[in-house]
Amino acid sequence: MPILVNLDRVLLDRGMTLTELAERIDLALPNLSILKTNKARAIRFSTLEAICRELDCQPGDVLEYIGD
Amino acid sequence: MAVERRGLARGLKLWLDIMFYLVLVVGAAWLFLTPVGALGRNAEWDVTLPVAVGKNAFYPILTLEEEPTSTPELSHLRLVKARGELRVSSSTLLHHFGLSAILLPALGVLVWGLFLLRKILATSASGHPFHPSNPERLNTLGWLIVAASVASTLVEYLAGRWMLSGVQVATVPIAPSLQIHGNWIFCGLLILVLAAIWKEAVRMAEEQALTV
Repeated sequence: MPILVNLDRVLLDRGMTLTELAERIDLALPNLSILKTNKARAIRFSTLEAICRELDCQPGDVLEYIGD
Repeated sequence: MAVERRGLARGLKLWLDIMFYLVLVVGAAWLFLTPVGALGRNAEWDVTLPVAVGKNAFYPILTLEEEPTSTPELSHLRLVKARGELRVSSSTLLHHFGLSAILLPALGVLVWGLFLLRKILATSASGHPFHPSNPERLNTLGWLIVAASVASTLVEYLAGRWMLSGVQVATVPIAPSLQIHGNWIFCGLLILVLAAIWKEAVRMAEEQALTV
């Protein structure tokens, strides 16, 4: 997958766990886990907005393009 | 609403389950008991086969004799595309077993079709209609129907020719039936189209499930 999700790195920087983030953005933990482990096929803008709001970051901090 | 939909699928699956086991039991009993019964008797057995009434197997035409009292404006009466079943009493076991052997694969096709339908409905009843195996099951069902329709046309004609080779009817011309089961072929093609659409639906469902 050419798009890498660096959610675990940003969570570590903010000192937050995946469970806490899931509760804050009202998303099921398994779904957030799918995103964190790069298994997701797509992400909604509403989800990205909620993540960036709670982690106080930019989309580019969470998503990285690495190419094929 | 979701519960109602699943209730309908469960109800349909139960109905299919009953049909499946009924066909299996009755078919097996018929296939096993009839030859056994036939072997035990020294008599004639009735054999039924589809025939065309008239000349020409594909488009039978039978010219009818008119009564003298018919109106002169309407004349030259012909019965066209008349088909029926000819029942023959046969004292030859070969005829009886031959037709039973033809019905055995037909029974297999019916059982296989019902089995596939049950499997598809089972996934729907459990809340997963877009199971990855369902498009392939629908595809198999579609080809099964198309192939069985084409095969049944050929088998009916050949079986009819075989049986009628020893039968000479004096009153009405009889020919082996050569009938294309267009409705069934269309039904099979329809299921094949649905299978292709279902495959795309499975892909979309998988993508949607992995959309966060």
